[in-house]
Amino acid sequence: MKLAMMFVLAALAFPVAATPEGPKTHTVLITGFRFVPEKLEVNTGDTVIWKNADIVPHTATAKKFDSKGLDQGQSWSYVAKAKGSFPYICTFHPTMKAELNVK
Amino acid sequence: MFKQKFSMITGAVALAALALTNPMARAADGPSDPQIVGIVLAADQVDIDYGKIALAKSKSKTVREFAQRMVTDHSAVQQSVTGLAAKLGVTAADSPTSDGLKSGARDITAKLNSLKGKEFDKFYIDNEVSYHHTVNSAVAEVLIPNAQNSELKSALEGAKPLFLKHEEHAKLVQSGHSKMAHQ
Repeated sequence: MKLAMMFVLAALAFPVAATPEGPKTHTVLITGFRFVPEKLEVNTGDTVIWKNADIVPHTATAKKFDSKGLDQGQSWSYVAKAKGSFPYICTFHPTMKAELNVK
Repeated sequence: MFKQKFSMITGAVALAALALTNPMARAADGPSDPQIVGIVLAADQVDIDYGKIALAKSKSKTVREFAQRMVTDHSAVQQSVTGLAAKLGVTAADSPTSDGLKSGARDITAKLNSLKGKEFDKFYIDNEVSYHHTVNSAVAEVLIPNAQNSELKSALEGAKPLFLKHEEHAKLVQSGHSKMAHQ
């Protein structure tokens, strides 16, 4: 009986653990003239949202993507379709640097 | 050349003198909260005005973009500081430092108005580097330690990265610009 129960529980638990995770959403906060986190690793298909919490406008700009100007409180999202490493900057403040890695 | 350097030094003297004051003397002689607000507003306005001159005179895309950034960012800081001061019931007050900033700015403005082309761009960017450097020191070493109100202190802490990034940006333009000048 105990063994049967264990099989049932295992059968219930297993599909959850085995199901491939769906696309996730990650947030990069722009605050204090920094991208937080400065290095972010995501899977293909994941969405990355940049949210500007500073009082001045910023951008998140790479060769593959460009948020254009984001005022305080504004967000911009990007679906990471291409694999690779994408260093990006704020074009308004070019010494603000970060990196998005898409696996 | 000497005149240019002298002029830049004059522009930064008020803040530099404040930053270099003996630390022990600061607590007693440091600026009050209304004076700190007055200093920040004056320092911001000076850089907005320089930026507007650069936008009117410079033909360099890089210099103009930098100048536009200074106008946009420092205007946002002005709004934020004015709003915070109103909320806290603090009225900006003049001080020898804010007066010095304004009179130093008159010399720099005269110099900016007298220059053209690459000479103008070089003087504007060189001054932006030294000006932001001096403001950074003053914010960290004088304004923040002397601010009494915790919200004002925290707003100044929050403004630190802005001035630091502007200094780095100015140095970047300065180095790129010197390269272009030598090509």
